[in-house]
Amino acid sequence: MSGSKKRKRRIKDMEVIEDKKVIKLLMEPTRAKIVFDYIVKDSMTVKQLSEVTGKNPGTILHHIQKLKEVGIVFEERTEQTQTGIVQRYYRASAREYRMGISEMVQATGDDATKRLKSIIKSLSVYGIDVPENQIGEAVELLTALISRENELSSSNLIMDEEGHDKLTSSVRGDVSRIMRRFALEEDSQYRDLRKNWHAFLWSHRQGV
Amino acid sequence: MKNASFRTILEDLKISYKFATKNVISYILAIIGVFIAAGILLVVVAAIVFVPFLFAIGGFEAFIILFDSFGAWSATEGVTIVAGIFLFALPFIAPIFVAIGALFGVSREIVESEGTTAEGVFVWFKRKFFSLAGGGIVLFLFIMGPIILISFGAVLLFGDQVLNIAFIGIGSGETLSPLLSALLMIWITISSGLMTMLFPAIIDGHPVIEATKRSIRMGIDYFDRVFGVWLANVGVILLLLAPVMVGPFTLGIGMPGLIAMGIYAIPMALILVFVALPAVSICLTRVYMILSADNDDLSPQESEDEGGPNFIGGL
Repeated sequence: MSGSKKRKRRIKDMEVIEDKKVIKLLMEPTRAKIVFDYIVKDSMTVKQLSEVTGKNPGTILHHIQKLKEVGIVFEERTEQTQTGIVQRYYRASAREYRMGISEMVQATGDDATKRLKSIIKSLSVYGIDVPENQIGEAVELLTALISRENELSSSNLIMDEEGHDKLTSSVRGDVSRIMRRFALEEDSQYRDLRKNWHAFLWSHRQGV
Repeated sequence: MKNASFRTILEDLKISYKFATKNVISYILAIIGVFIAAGILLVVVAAIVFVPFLFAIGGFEAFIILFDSFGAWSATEGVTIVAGIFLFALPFIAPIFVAIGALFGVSREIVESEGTTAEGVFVWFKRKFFSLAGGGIVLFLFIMGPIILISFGAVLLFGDQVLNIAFIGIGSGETLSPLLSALLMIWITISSGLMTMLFPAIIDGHPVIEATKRSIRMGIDYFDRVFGVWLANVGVILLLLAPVMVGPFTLGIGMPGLIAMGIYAIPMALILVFVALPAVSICLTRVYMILSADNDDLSPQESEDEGGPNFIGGL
């Protein structure tokens, strides 16, 4: 399929998913695998996804359609093969996704809260022991920090979209991280939240 | 790629029949299964429609009287079809169209990935039930609606003498006048051709109205390709049916003729249902996917794995 080149669809650097419906959709393991493990990195066909996930093509097609409906996936291109099949290449609309933390708690209820508590408890392997009665406080501090980070990181910092598209993926990833870090450092609210969180961690660090 | 030539259409047909034959076992199981499901559904619909209706009109005898009155009505006003269709036919048409539509789902899996499973048809049947039922009703109304309305309007305006013009006597029977037959054929060809992309579009995730618009738009924009494959598929089916249709006139109605036709008719019917029908759905789905690919000139997006390791760590 040759011809004149059209404008590529722009893929976002990072997207925070705040829609509870989309969060629930992405909690399904196969859909999560399709999005987070594969099509954020490259465009893939139903057949390829079927091979890597071990699911039948019909199941993959249904998942892709659901993801397409909510705008997480788009059809990048269509190609006809030698055998006559018409392959559609699907790609995620962003290179990285994060779930809106408070929306995730609302969407998944206990699951997200349990996960956050488990993260806090797991800090013990790094020598940070948070007593049971302070886990709630730790979850609140971490949630506020993540929410602010998501808010800042999802804002579009790119000034030259076309130039950005021309970068190689690794350079694009590096500059994106540098600038997102810079944006976070510039934000006083984020700095305060991070200070509080770090103070909390320091206060529970063993051997200090 | 999107425009038609004789070679393209021939290629479309060849690929469709190749895939239909390759997946014939899946299709046989899927068709049997899905039509059993549709049959059960028809019985349920019949029970839902007729049981309360029987009670409402006062039992089975009243029901017969009502249908008799339709007969009397039709002799003078010719509205039996209209009344019958709008009162009873639509709920019965829907499950059949859902079953056919579900086959388009299986075909989509084949066209997109070369593989399918027989049970996949039930997933499409269940997930797209209301869209496919709606699509079936739209398809039916789009093709038959104008015919019914014009017939109804003509009878209302000019009375039953219209029927004397529309139908001409041949021997002891009556048949539709050649002019009307030709007009009817033209309308059915055009309207069905415009609707060929309806089920593939529904399977692609479009709501019924959007799928209808898309199908009509494709039929107009890519008239040659859409009508080319549609007529080619109809042609193949007619070729399969031709010996049975022409047989009585050429072979006579003697016993040898009947035996020859019987020998041909059974495998022909099996091929028609389990190969030709799937091939039509594969062909239309494939053409839909080619025509709806508005980004086919796009160069692929760069893979995120290209370009070496990252220097800056994640946040």
